Amino acid sequence: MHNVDTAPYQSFQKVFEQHYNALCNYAYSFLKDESSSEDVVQEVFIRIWEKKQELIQAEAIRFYLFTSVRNNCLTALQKEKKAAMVELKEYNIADTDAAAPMEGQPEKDYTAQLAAAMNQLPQKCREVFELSRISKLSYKEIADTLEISVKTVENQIGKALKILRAYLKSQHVFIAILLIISLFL
Amino acid sequence: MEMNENIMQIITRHLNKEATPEEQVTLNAWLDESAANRQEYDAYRKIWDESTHIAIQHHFNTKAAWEKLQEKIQPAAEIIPMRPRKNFTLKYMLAAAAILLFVVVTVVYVYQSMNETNWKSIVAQENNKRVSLPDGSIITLRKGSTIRYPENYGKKERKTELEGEAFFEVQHDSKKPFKVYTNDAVVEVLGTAFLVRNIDSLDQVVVSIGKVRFAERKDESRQVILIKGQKADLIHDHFTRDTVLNQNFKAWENGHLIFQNESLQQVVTDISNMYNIPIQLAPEVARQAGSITIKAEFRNEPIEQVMDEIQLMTGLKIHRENSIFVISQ
Repeated sequence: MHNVDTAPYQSFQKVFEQHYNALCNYAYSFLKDESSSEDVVQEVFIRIWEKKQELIQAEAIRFYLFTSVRNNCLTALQKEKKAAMVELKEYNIADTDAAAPMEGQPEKDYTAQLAAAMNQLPQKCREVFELSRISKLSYKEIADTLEISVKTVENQIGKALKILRAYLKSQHVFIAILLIISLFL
Repeated sequence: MEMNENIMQIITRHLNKEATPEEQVTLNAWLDESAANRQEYDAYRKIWDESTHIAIQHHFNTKAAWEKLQEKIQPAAEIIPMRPRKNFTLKYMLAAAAILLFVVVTVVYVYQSMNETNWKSIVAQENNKRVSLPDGSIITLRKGSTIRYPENYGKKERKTELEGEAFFEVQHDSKKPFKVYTNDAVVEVLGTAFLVRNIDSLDQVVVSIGKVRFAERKDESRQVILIKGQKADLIHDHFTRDTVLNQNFKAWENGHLIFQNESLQQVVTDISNMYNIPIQLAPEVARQAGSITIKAEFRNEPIEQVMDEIQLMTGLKIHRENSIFVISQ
């Protein structure tokens, strides 16, 4: 144990624990399947440990992680289309709790409405916005990941915010109208 | 009042903590201008904070995943976490005795088997390398790969170990099956030609002629049987079977890349594999990469020239970023 340098290993564990859930959620946004999302993320971490240990303590690690997960998801989607899976083993899917129910009625409404609104975003806009919210990367890093300009990232985020606010506002108006109508019934 | 674009940009930057001090001043002034502005800002702030929870609404078990990962990246002995001691002295002693016995038996076994057979190791360092085995089988080793076989190869059995990638042309001998071992896989044949590739946790077998048994090393009952024109990947206990679209899996050996109206996705995969260079598709290209097809032939051309031609044929833009090629629109 004494001659093993445990420092990179420990920071590797820290990086893993810090980002695993967010990365799986990001993978899920492409693959829509929990088990394959976890596989992609595992694969990326194994690669880092085996090939890119110098990255672990680097500032760019978060950027590298999200970019790799994205690329691997795109590859997996390509593959999925072509190949028929031969499942030879029952796979143990890690216990996954259902998303914790939100508390409080009005907040639940708000969250549900916001979730619905996020689903309505135009595709590109949504991709940029979701990556930003999951990864908390800087706009420059998001731009590099998606290979678009920083200007485009900022515009898409601004656009997302405006669309979401407008959608939520229209929902309020809609509910208010329903209430008013019900008064007259 | 309709909000101007400039303020929206400042808010966008401010939310990601990227606003400059000057922009912050402008934002504060705008907020003080009216209650409506303040309300609008609050709405964005709330969307910003809440959307994170929505985007990360699935809960993945980080602890279980870390344990799974640990098994793959470190020998178990170094990662057993310290647990508070409990009073199970007898149990511990029995366990210790069992481990000791196991270690002794293993050491004796390994020692004996080492004496029995010496292994020959061949590394293709600078170039691809052709290796002839005593039975006349031929292995073409890809640059950077290693093949090992016992000195008494062929006497009782035909056993080899591969790290990396190689193409095998095996002499027929129905009494002594030919076996290739990688870290995780066993490939077994009687006589045939096939490719084995072992990179990280991927094992891939592509069959040119004949029939091949491709199995997991730790449990050989998990297997797929492949015939001519088929291939399979083994990644973490999963086999994925597919048909071979073209002969480009041998491109590193003969330098020939031939595409008969194949998808850009396939073309990029083959080129990247042949030249060992990552090629990235920009999102707008990736989306349609399945529908762009390419008909072309390359024979030992430098990668720059190949990329130039792809660029001409598709009308896409290709540029080099450090050691990566990026294809965009």
